[in-house]
Amino acid sequence: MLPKLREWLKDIAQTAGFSVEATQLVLLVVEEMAANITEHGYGNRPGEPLWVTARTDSRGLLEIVIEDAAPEYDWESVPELDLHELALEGATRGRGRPLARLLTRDIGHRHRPDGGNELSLRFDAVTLERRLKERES
Amino acid sequence: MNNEDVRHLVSITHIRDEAGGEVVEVAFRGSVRSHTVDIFRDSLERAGENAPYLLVNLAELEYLSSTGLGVMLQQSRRQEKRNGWMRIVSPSATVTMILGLSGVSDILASAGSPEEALRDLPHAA
Repeated sequence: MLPKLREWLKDIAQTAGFSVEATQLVLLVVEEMAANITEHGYGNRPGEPLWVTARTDSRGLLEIVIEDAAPEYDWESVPELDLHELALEGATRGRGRPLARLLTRDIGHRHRPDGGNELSLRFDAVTLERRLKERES
Repeated sequence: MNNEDVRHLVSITHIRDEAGGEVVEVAFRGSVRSHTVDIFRDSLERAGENAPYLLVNLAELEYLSSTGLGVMLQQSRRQEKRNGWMRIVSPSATVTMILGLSGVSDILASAGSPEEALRDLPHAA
């Protein structure tokens, strides 16, 4: 993810009231999802487009939408892996999506009308602070 | 390739001869993202070839992607095959958070300092 985009998302999250640590988690999820699209959607070809939109609302919800022009896929058909099991196996891959599941309030996916995909990541500060506390305990 | 990110991953390797065996310490500064993960992998592999015991100092690493985490798990296994081990040293707050959330803190052992990690050498005093 481009440094300018990271800074922009950081500003939006912190303006929406997310703590510094919670903002790091938001960036982590966006980084992981963008990397997944680049690798699996675009086959790591350079110069392919990603469009990122962010919205906040008065309830403290932050929605980040990542759109791509990669071949359409079915989000629900991708096997759901478990972080704990991946850790026990010492797996070297496959953590991006379960991390996104863990750290978001919910995730939406749809096909764009003109081709490609739209991934919607919705965050709230309460969920993220809970995850941070769970990690500490 | 994003040149700004590539410039933003620097590694320094230092080989040290300790009482319990030869140890190599590699310190990273910057961030491990999709554009820098190959450099991270190569640096770890090259460092690990020098000695069975590998200290990976992440005190100044700002970000570690899940792919970078996988690279460290692979390198840890390589060191075990060399009858050694790999220890993460002084991980930054962000890296500590990523290790914890991913559930790999128990697999990738960490130490607060190089000296603390070196106590795990087989013949350390």
